[in-house]
Amino acid sequence: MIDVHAIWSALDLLGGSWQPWLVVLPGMLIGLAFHAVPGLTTSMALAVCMPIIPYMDFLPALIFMTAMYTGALFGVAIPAILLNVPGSASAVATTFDGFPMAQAGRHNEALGFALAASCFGQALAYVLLLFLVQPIADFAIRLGPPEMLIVALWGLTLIARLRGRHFARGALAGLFGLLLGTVGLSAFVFLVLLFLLWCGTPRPPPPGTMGLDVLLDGIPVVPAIIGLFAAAELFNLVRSDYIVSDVTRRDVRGRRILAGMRDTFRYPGTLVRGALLGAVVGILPGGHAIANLLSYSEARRTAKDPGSFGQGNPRGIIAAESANASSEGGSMATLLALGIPTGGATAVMLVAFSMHNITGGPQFMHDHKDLVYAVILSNLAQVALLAVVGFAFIFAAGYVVKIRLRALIPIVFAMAVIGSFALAQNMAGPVTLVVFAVVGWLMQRFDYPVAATVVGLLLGRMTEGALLRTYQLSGGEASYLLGRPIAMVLLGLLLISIGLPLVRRVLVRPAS
Amino acid sequence: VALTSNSTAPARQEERRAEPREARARPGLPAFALAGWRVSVDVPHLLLVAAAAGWCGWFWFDSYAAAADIENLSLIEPTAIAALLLCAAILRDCIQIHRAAEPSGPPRLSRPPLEPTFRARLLGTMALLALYVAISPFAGFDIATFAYILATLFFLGERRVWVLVLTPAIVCVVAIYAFNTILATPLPLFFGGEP
Repeated sequence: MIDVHAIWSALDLLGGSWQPWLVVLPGMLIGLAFHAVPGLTTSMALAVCMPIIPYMDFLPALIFMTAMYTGALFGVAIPAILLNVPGSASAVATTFDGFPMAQAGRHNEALGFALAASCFGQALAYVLLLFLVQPIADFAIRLGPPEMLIVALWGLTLIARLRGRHFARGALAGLFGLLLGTVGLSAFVFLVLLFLLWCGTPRPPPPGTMGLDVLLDGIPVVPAIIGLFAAAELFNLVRSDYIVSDVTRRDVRGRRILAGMRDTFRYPGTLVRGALLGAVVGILPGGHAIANLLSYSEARRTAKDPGSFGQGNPRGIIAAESANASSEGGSMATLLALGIPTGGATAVMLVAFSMHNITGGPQFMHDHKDLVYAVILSNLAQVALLAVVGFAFIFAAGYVVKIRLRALIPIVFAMAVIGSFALAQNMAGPVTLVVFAVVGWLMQRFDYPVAATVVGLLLGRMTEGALLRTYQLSGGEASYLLGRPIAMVLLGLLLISIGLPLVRRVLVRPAS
Repeated sequence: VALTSNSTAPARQEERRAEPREARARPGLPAFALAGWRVSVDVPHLLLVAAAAGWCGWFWFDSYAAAADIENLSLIEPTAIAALLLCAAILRDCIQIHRAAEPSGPPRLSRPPLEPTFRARLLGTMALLALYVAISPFAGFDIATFAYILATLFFLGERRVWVLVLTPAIVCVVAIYAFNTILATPLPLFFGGEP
């Protein structure tokens, strides 16, 4: 599993020069700072730093980018916990319990839980990667549309668990999100429209776009998420003076952050399960976006007190953050071993590869195994650094709770609007934010779970694409799945995941 | 639509006695009499459900018009149908019908009412945000952001002049420098850019 010669060579590369280490701290700080602004993403941070990549050697460049990624993966949790602003899809589940904890004056502990879970998740993922990078590469190349469809369906089962007090309202919120996720030009509609154009037939606009070109690529997801979650919550806060109403609970205490970090390890099951799930799901395209949701869902499903989730249960934060952090390891496995990006950040990294005339993939693995191991080992060291740098960063960020809301609200809204513009590169981002802010507030007001809509929105396009490709490959024959063992295993796991709670409920009811 | 007969009235009265004080203080739903029945309607919720149903129906129709094939509609059609059925099911929460003679009075609002101060602040904050986004492409993000933060600060109760001026100025300078110079994302600006 491990090439010992390559490991020694990697240690030599890392120990032979100070250059690879010099870039770690700036990279991590850039990643952390970027995610303090709603709407900014890891891929934007990487893209901004792209011009300096050609001036670095390949290994320092790669370590610089992974350090940025490492910092960003945790950084995204800070506004999610303190402001209920999930700066990207990968922090959606962190808001579920993070913000209620912050509102209850337990922001120090919540940030500590997130930091420790993030460090643990990344460490476990990179240890796994060290041993399994080769087998993972072999496994990932066998995953096709049917497997992706089952993973997407697994993600959708989360809607049922986020239903809130009213089943019908929860399900409607989820289905509404699912439909929103399919707005725009799907691959099939694109082909139909091309055909109509070729025939000279007047073409109808793609579904749900109302003829607006800016919606051709679908609804801008990050502005929509910021609108649904953050803006709706900020509207509710206009009646308060501070996020934490009790003045005695507004302190930023390093000791309490450390207590949160220490207490994280009181939930080893949640921590390890989240990290393992994140590492596996991170291998898949788009996996980093749903790893946190799947992990949260599993933590809630297996908990003895599922009702406490969403009310400020630390296990919710730990599950989401450990999976989110470990998904980096999975993404890097796919990037290094297959040369396939699994998301925006790894796509930008691939561009940086090409600046050094290097193409990721099996050949890269074969020719530069020492570089791959050097990156993995450097990331293990980065985890230790993240624990220190992240602690200092959240110590500073924790002071957000001391700012009066009448100042914080317009500042956060302004940054979110500008960030949405930068993300969409047009006014579709800010307009989406405003529309979804109002929709989100109305949903909260009438007791519709916003989280279910976000899950549907995130998975709508992915589910539709995988369903379409599976249908085309199978010709509509369900027996096609029988010939795909990985799909069958995933399907079995999905059915067990759905069926177990039902069986448990049936068994428990007569006993009670 | 919920239909309640006299036989459930004592149970409902019992439930009402068990409600917390805050819930008991909520206003009753507007109701009208109809042939011996009292129809209570939660109008805002009904409008929300109608809007959701309207959008789902329109999206289904729009998708059908774009390409009426199984490949295009395989996810959209069943999802839209399920959403419409759920909207119909939720109508039960919006419209409730009871016998007019039932002594327990009309059902109460299922959510706390908006206090007048909060309602004014909420609508004002929403309007200012919408206005900010509407004028940004024309006035430029520099002018619009400054004006938005200043106006919202003032609207939410800030009266110190130095806070009203310095807060938007600092946010504008930092945000515009960061986006335009560091991130190379050209924002429409009034000063030094094209609004």
